[in-house]
Amino acid sequence: MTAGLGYVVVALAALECVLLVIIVMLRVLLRRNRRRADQFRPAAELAVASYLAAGTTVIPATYPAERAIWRDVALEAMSDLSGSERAALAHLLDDLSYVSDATSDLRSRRRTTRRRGAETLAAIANADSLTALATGLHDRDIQVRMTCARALAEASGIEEIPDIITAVIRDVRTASGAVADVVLALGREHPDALEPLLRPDAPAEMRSIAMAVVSEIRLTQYAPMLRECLVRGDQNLAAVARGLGMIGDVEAVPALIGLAEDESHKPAVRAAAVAALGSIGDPSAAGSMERLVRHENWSLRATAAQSLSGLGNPGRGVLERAARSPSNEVREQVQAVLQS
Amino acid sequence: MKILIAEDSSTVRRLVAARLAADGYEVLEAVDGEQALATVRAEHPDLLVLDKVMPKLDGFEVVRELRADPATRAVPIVMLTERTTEQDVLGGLDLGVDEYMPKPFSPHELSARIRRTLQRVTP
Repeated sequence: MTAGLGYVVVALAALECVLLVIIVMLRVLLRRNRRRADQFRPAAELAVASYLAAGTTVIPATYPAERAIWRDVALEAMSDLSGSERAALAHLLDDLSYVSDATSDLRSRRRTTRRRGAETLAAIANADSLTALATGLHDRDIQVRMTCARALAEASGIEEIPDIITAVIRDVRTASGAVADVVLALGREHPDALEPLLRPDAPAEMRSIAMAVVSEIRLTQYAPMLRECLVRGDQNLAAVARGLGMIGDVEAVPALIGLAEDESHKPAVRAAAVAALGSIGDPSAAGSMERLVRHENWSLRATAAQSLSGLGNPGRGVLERAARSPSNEVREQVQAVLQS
Repeated sequence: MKILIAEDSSTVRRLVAARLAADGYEVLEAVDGEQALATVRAEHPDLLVLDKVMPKLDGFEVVRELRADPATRAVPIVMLTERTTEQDVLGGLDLGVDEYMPKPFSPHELSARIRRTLQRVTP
């Protein structure tokens, strides 16, 4: 019994020693790799800078750790560069086989490796990397999918738009920020592609992002679709009104006046319609604003006063009349606008 | 002509230094605001390329100190920065920044702006 216990103790002590040796060896290895990286990084930075400034020939790194440092330095430089120098660096990375490395990385079982592969391919964004990025749209990791989707959305002449649309609709609830970036890139490069994201059957979060993008980059081709949403009584009427205002859609003025005056809607929705009328600047809204600038709700009054200043002489006339209102609150708000 | 680059990112510093050296300038480097101030006072460069966000002393502080000192008041400054809101640009111009270059940037374009700034200030 005692002898058995002794064997266990000796075995445990031996195991501890082995573990200690492994830990020490790993730390030495890590420290050596870090030192090598620290030594190699300045050389990689210098090689990148000299290549771009003077076309100096680049000697390819051979060790995997050095290749990784070289890639990181090049990607970091690309994030700060624009124009021909950025394009030259992307070309160099392709010449040094980083596109094929990243394509292999995208097939890795490790999530971090796939993410790095997607980021490298997205930064290079040439024909070969776009082909690889298309496969990343179906990756099981959301970050890989969104990195690939954004890079593809920023590229022109691609065939993967339906796959990008599927990816953003799938991920909108879990990664709305990343999805918004993709939709913004789509709107800038492929404005027609946003149509399915604005349809009534698209998820509410998706429609909200698409409307914000349409408004932000003023995609006038979507004005009829937004007008339909207004007439239909969309779930997100305030966003629809904002969009029409930012686009400056004169045809939406009658519907926006109707929304601004409709007491059944919340003041925030009505205020969005009033602000949109001010942005469009059509003087036919002045009569409606004259009533709203005297409304009991503070935010509606303030928005109407501000919007009247965008309606030219008819708006100014309404403001001057309202400045003589018997209500102190109305007078103060209107005078603040007149004096600004 | 001697140009000082004050920038904490070694990658950007080397990109700019290589471009300017290829264009025939003598290039000095500083990694933070304090080192930038000390180098300007010691080496009297003809122009300073300055990052806005730097350790120890930020770019605006460096401009303020340089413009307050009669010995360094006239040194032309090109601000290289990702912070280019209207407020930043106006703040920098009010302090005495001569030229702004937003990141991401083209080193070729930066070199052209430096050339233009030097032509403007050199009698």
